[in-house]
Amino acid sequence: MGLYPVVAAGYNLRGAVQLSLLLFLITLPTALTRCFLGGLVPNWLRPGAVLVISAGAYLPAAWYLNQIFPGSLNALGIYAGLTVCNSMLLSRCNDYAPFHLARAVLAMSLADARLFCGFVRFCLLAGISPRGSVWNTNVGTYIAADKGTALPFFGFLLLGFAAALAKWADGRRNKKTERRVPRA
Amino acid sequence: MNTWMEVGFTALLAVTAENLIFTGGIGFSRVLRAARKPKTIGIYSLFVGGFSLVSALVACFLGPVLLSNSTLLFMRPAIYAFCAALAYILAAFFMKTFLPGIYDKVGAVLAPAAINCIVLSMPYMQRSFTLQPHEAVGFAIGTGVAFFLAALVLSEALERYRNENMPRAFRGLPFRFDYVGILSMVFVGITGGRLFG
Repeated sequence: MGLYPVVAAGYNLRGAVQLSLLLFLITLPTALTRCFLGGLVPNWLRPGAVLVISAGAYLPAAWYLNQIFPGSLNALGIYAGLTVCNSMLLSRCNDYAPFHLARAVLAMSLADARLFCGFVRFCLLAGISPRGSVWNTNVGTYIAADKGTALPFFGFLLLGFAAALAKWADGRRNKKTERRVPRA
Repeated sequence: MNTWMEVGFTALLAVTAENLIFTGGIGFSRVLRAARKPKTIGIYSLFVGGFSLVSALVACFLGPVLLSNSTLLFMRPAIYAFCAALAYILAAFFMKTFLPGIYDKVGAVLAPAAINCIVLSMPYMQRSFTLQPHEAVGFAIGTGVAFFLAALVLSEALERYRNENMPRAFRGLPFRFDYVGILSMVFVGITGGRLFG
């Protein structure tokens, strides 16, 4: 989960890359800090501690993002600020990072950011690539009926179809595996 | 009397026209989690409303200070997140120390209800709508009610997603996304989605 910013703010590929980079830059130090702290933080304090760490990580991450993509924080609006408490980030840092090796945590942070960007890329390629570049081209700017594609509900619908596609592919793969006769 | 009416109207706005969950897609994962356990929806929503209230009130008093300076404005998300974390830690500490029996029962929903995007989006909503403190109270209460209704609707939907007539690939999570997508579309269709449109 935690894909709502992409659903709502991923109007173009540039926005997707910016969000993914911000997520990565916040997740990495937060998850690594939680990994090194391990079980030192009591359970009840853990969610608060993770939020404080991610809030601290947001500052250099946002500064760096604004250096690479000037004006990106304004363009992302409230979704940049809300990345601090992204569900995916919080659950990884609360439940995964404290009990795994730093190497695994690093891989997880990278994978989350790539998943984020990948989903937007899927949506954009499905929807607007026939109209030109997906880097700068915003969805919902062509005709009146097009406007809906820039709203969160469209992202939810696409997410549903993407999840169904993944489930269908998974089912097919499982069937193939079952059909394979085990070798003696 | 006028003040109470304004509180009521802003609460209604949060439930209907500017429903953060359906119109904005904010906090959807929390709603899904709450919907999985229908027995805790009430207390979960109560906590979401309470922490949203704290967040909105913090924004009312801290907002003008943070807007006065570009450095503070840049630090705003981190400061609000820090305040939300502090609110959670104080509440958890208080309950753990003075109400351990209640904490044992509701402790599991306290953290997800206190630390989420709904609570942290309150300062931004407060600024977007330029809400006065009493209106912010109404908006936070309305958001708690909206959370309750959304979780209730989804908990009902979760019972139906095993329908045998549905294509296998759409059963489960894909159905939930599309269900919420259609509900969100209805909200946008009725209200026009002023804030998120």
